[in-house]
Amino acid sequence: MAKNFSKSIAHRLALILRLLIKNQIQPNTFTTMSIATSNSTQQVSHRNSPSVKSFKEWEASISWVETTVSELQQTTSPVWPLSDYVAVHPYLGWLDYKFENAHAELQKVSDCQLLPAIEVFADQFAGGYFGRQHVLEAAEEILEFPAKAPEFTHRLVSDLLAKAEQPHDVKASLDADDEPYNRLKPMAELSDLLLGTSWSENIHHEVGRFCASYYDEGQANWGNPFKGEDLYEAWKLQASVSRNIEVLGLTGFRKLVSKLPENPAAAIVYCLSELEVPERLWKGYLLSHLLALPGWFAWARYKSETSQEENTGDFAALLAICLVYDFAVVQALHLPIDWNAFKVQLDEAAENQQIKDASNELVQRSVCLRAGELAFAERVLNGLDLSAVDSNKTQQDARKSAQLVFCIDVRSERIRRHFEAVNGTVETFGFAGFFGVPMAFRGLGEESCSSRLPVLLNPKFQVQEGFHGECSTAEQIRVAKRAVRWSRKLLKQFQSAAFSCFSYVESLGLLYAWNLTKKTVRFAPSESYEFDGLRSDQRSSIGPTLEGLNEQGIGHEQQVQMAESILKNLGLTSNFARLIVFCGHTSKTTNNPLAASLDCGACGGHGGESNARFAAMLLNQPGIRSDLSKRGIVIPEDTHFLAGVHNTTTDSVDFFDLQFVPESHVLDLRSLQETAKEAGERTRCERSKTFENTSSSGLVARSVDWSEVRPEWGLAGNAAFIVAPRQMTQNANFDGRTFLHSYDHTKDADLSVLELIMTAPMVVAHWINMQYFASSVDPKHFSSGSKTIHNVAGQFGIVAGNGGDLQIGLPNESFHNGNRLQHQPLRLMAVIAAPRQAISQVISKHYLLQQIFEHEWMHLVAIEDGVQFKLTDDLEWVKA
Amino acid sequence: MRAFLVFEPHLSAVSDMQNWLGLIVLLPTLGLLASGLVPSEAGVRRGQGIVRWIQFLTVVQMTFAFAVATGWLMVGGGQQPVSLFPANLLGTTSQWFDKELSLLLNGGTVMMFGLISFIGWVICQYSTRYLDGDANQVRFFKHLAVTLACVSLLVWSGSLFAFMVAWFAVSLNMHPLLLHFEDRRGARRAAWLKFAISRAGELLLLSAVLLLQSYFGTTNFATIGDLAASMNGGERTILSIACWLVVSAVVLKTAQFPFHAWLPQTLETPTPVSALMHAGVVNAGGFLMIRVGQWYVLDSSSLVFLTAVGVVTAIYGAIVMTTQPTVKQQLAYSTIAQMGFMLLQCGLGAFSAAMLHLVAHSLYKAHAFLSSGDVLQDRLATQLTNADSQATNPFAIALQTVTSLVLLVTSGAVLFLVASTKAAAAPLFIIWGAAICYYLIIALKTRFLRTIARSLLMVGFLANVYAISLYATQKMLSVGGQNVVGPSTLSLAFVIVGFGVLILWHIVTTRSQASPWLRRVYIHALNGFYIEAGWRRILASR
Repeated sequence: MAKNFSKSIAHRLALILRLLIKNQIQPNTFTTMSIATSNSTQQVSHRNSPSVKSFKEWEASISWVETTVSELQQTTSPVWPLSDYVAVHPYLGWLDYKFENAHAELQKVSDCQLLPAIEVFADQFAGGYFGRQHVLEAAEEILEFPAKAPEFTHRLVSDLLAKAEQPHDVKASLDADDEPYNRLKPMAELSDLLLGTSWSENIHHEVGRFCASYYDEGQANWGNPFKGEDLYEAWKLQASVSRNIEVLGLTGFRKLVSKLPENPAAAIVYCLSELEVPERLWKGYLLSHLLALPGWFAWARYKSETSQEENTGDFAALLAICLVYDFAVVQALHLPIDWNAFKVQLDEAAENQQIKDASNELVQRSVCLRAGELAFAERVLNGLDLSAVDSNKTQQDARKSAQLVFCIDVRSERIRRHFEAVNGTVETFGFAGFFGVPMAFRGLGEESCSSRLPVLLNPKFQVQEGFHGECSTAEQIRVAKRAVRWSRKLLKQFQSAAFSCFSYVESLGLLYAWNLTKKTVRFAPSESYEFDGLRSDQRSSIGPTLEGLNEQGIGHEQQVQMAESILKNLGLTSNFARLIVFCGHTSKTTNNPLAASLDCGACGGHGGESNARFAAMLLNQPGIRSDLSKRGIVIPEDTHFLAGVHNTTTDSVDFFDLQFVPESHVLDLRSLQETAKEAGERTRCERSKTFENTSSSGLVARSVDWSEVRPEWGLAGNAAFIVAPRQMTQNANFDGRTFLHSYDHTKDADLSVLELIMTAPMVVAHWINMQYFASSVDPKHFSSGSKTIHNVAGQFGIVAGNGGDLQIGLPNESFHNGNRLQHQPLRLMAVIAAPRQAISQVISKHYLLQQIFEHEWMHLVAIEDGVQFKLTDDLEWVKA
Repeated sequence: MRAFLVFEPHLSAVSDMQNWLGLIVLLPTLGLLASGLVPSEAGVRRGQGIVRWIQFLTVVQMTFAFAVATGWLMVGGGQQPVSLFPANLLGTTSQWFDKELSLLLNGGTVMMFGLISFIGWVICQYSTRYLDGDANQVRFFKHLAVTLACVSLLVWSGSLFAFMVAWFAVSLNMHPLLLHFEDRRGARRAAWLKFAISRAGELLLLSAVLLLQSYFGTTNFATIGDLAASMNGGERTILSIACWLVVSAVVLKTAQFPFHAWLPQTLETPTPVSALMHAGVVNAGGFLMIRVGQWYVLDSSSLVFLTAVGVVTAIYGAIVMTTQPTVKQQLAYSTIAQMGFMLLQCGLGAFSAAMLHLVAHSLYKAHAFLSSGDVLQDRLATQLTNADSQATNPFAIALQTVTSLVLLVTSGAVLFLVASTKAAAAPLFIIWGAAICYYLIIALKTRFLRTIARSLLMVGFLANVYAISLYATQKMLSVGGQNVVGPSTLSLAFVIVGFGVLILWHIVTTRSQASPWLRRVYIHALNGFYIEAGWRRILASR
């Protein structure tokens, strides 16, 4: 405290001194901003031509800004609304850099961290996550002079041991003390450091409040009346009226706003030139704004591109808004800025200048990270049954009793293992959880539909939910549903209108005692509103239908094609069992705004039930089967497709549409249900060990507990993505840390399946992995903080406490158990059982893959003929 | 001693037991208080032990609270003086001790003690899992325990002095809870703003205590209340000043405009703290008004002031609430509005209505905060669907309509019963009726027969619940000379005009076309009319 204080005093003194000297020598060529200059520019200059620039220069600047902003927009990670929340790669814009250099690059414009603190590694080392030989191996790989590795290892290990002994606070160790000019930063932050103000916080609150109300999807009763305008215009209108920031001390702000140019790009140039930012720093300066308010920029990116119009320009607008506030701070506080003091080299040449010497803590941390990865890789690769790859004998085995297709999600690994252990005649597959059905789903009677496929794809058709029964009953249900929803909505309006809220509370407030009691003793059957209007016996009779597909251009031919590609991509074209189950996954939690993040990412943050049911229904159509047999896929008469869903919170597996299961399969079904029950119980037992003091039934209780912040661990722990036939992974216990995708390269001559896997599920897994990585490495910047102060904004996002930036990462509770990290941050390792040459061919076709592997954002191991090969950063293969 | 004499009949039978009653009933409360003494640095295992111990105590306290309520109803209600310790325990009988540290058991105590114990239990249970793994969980539970204990003592206290001390202790213990995430600047700012405003309020209350003590020799609620009826000129002035001081303190401490600014800023602390504060702490001012209601028999000038502040706050809070885009900010401004409404009821002299409102709001708001993560579920629950027909069962509709009519008639009768004894009831019933009309109007607008019938039934149900609970509250609170304050014309005018404005406001803002001036007002309202920013400017807090 005292240290900081004296430091800030010293800063101020230095500042004043500098000012005095400068004033004395050349008072007129004052490089820094002063009232006099800024006032005169405002008087002389018109909107479009500040005095410092000629018209031509101005035009050039604007076009530069437009290009740069759209570049920046492309490299900013978007965020999806809470209702379809999915994991997003937070370092999307940094893939151009090698992983080890990205850290240094990030540090030029932000104080975020890409590598865990050395203390984290000390704990891991002490906990046996990796050993000395891994450190040595990693050092040899990373150090410039591998000969120095043994000495380096020796020093590092003793350092780690010493650190592990000392009591240390992992959180504090990442907060490097911040010098005003060590990196580019928004001027508000500079002012905070120099003068001890809190302008960056104030501005974030101001921007946050505006954005939350502008994008509000129905939280406020009196909605923002400026929603019709585009973001920049709406903000200008509001900022020219709102006194908030002026009351806080930014005098003259409204006047400044009224003088702003009409479009965001011009406003950006205006601010840049008024701030006198040297052109070489422009991009870095803009970037520092993006990294200072990552949440709202992510949202603006999402909004810019997913709305109906082409590009709404929200992203540029938000950037302009941030710059205007920054300029206002400088203007109001007469903050002198010495742009030359920023010791930042932003040119690309700086990339290779990193010194790989042993004393550098960054190198130590890189080596430790790699050591952890090597240790994990060792475990995974040792678990693989390499001989299984080529032996096609297993295929000749007796017909399986059931084949279950699970999502590639790491949580499926456990239950698949137990399924197979409980019943040896069951075979399981791993496949993207939307089962290749690119659909949007619309509930019975609902007016809107939701996409049920990976967020980067667009739905090809819409599936309607229907009632399997009489038409009149279906209509009755619709009416009943509407009546229930209306009644609730009316009561909600009564509750939230400005003058009737008092009477609502007086009349119904007392009854909340019952709700409180019910939820506290967990006697609360959680409501499922999708069943509104249905009697409990009718619930199993609604589900996706094939209705209306023809009208959307998905005729019989297309349906056959879809069915074919599902089976082909899955690698299941022969040896069909009697029962084949598409088993999606879902989660069941309560009072959890981030519930969608626990659902199936491949289904766009929803449960996988509808996709599974649709796929099963499709493949049960006799017409489709007969056409499939013409294409060479012969599904036996006695094969029945079934849909199921794995609830990852409780590990129960439910099956659907049982009324359509033929008489002949009832016994098979019953045995499968038994197996599912036992496998679920075993999975729960295994999973309960990942929590402290929890039993198997305790896990079930978590799903209905309204006070539970850790209903399940989600995908925590993920670190590998294995593309291989199940026989190869069957004997290993991966502890729910691996994505498993079924793949048999012998059936994939044209590599189309491999290409699909490497460009879709693998990239998604990489995104998920990076989200967990970023959140757990640097919670301050990339996690969404503690769940206990989460505050849902506008029904689409989360802010922490009173407001400010949109929180986009994982909450601390989903990767940290209070005492230690539950998720060990590791870069994803892909293991692909396919010829090296095939893999290289796919990589060479896709720039994204080259980037990821060349820049070491992910590692790749190929298994060819039972031998492991590693892919190096030159995209060469070496024997592992 | 006059107050005690009034209730002599009750005393004679249970005198001995009653001596001990206070101590026994408050045993778990004192246990909670003592939990605060355990050092926070206790290890993890010990820490979990403390947490479980506190949980256990809240369960016991809740059981005791319901036992007290049952016992109180069985002896026929009324006002029962109880002492904290048996007088002979300390060996001395001090007049001051008797008066100032005596406990007061009446309908208000029973309701509030039940409420606090219940809310305390809910929050303790909730925080066990919610804050699991939090580094400060043990500290959190300790302060929670002490806060609960102090609120309970506040509820039981029989004198303004004891009330003030308990209130002060509550506030001091809330402070570290608000600073749960101490490194968050917003949390510190809010906590210290609350600290400043609370201390100012307590200073006012302290002056009232000193004034009363020096003139009447006591601050005992009942004694002064009884004296009030027969006071002469000079004493009247003193009481009148004391009343103003109390009202001002209540305004400061109950988040009334413009002293509300800290409340919407305290979201930087875990949800259960918000629930506790909004459900169990911020409303203590209203309870104080209910406690000292009789004092205002002589001079109700301060009540007019209270009504005015209440009306302004209610309108302000309600308007700002409707613009807030985040769920917790909305709840915070809703609390401000509801507190305003409660004090407005006090200002009208409708203390039982205020009491009902206090309890109902506490339960409602505790639930709203604790389940604030369910926003998306709630959205789904109210998402409209389509249906081609209106297929309905005429029999069911007829039945629903008839039932609702029956319910309406019975509740009307009960409400009439209530209204006949209370002049203040009329404006409140008008407000309530207007809200119900609004509900009916939006129901009719759907043109969906099933919904309309259902809403009719709901109206009947609402009316019945309201009438019965109001009647019950009035019965429970009615003691001797209390509840005799009538509303002044000025207060009535404030309320009628205020709510007229609010209704007009609602009509104007829900029109689809927003005029330019309304858009400007929207911006001001979204920013809470800059009161929060203004406080920061005044206090120069960063």
